[in-house]
Amino acid sequence: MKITKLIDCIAVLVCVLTMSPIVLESSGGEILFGYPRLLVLGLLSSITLLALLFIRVCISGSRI
Amino acid sequence: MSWIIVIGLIYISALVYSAYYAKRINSDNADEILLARSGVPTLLLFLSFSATLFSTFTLIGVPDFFRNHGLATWVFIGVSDVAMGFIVLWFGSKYRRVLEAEGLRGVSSLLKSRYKSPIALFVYILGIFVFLAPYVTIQIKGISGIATALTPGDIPSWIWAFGMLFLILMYSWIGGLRAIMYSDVVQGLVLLMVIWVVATTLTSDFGGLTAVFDNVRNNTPALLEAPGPKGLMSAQFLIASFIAIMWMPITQPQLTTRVAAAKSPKEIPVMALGISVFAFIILLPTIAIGMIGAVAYPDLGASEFLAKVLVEQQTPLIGALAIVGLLAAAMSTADSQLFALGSESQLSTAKDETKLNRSFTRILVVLFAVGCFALSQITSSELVSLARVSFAGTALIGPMILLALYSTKPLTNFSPLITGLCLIFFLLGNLSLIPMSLLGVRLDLVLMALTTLVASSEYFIINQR
Repeated sequence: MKITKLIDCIAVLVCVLTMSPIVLESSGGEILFGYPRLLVLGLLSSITLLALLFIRVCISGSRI
Repeated sequence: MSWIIVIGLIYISALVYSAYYAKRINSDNADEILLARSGVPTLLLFLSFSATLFSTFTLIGVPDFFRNHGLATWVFIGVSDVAMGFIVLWFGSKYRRVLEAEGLRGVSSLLKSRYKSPIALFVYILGIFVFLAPYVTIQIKGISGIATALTPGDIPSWIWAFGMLFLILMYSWIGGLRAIMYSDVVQGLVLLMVIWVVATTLTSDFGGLTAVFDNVRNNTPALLEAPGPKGLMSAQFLIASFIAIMWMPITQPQLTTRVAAAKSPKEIPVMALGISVFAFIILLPTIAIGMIGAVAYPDLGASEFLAKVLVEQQTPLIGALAIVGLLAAAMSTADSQLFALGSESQLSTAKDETKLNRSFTRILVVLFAVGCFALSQITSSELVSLARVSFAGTALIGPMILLALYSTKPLTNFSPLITGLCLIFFLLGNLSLIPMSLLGVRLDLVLMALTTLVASSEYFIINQR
């Protein structure tokens, strides 16, 4: 139960950080891994959320 | 033209087949026809949820947003839609458990059972009608206009609009909610295929994504950073949009009916994960379409840009697929919204929910469809404005619904009354009768904060007693 709450908190934190002016407006047009930094940050944020949700679903023990 | 006819006929056949397949399962039971109460398999459920969620905006609006406002669009739509999986998980599991435990059938039933007077129900029905009906109307109007422009021959847009609504009514009349869900799966997969094929062919014609970004960096570098060249993607805009999108699975009846149709609460987590994965893979190619649009067609209007990338730059087969994909995207959202408006209206007026009348809902859906068709022919700027802000508008009723879901004690009218007032202020703001910001903060953010504060205060006060 505590782990699921921790995952939920991390997910909220990821969203807040992604949309915070500090992260958004500092990104500029710089390049990261060959692509614009804003795109890399946005994609990383989405993938992190997907991974967290996957772990959360595995922990909650659901069925298809 | 011949490819459009061939693909169109295959598409219509798939819809008719899904309607009759659903009719066989429903076996003339009103609960099954209106709410699919015996449950739908998880795979179908999340595909249906996703197809309903991703309307024509995905294929038309999102690439155009990338083209005009740059890469921060991914934060606006990509991050928000992936994060929505968490809301489906948190809210959906609880909602489905409450429905099962108390024998409730939808949000209307929940509000009736928790609030002392019908004010909450009235505010909810008002909210979904005022914002969803214009959304359906504008979607039908927009796609019928685009279909007229993209197809050869002089088929007037009203015939496209009429044809789409006729098909929707046909399969929802025959197979009810289950037919809509099966057709959603067909429509969602068509949309997914079209968007990837279009993005792949465009990217390969342009010499790869790196070349696209190099070109953007040289010509319009503002597209690579927030808040974009027009300054739209500010932190405040992104936060307000994020909150509005997060409330969607709770406030939009076409989505709550899908959560309610899960076979058991234990299936909701997988459904939530499926929705997030689908969101990610359907939105990813829109980055390429939009950025190529920014490089190749920076000065074209939205419809000319779409005509170029979806049809003119494609082979006739892919162009035909894209047109059918657009129609599918519009229909998968419009059918669910019309049917949900019908079933929630019936639930809100039913004295005994165990004796639902399927003909009544069907007639309501036909009436709403006729109303939307009529409105689409006389679209006004006020209607366009309501459709544009529909998600933010329905988000205002979210806290009131959540309060009903989490509270086990009878609730007062305080939260519904404040929500109703906030809806009125929001409408006045969008009709430019009051300012759209308060002390530099967007009006929608202020109202969302107010409804949340009121609902959470009531929750804590009631639980302390």
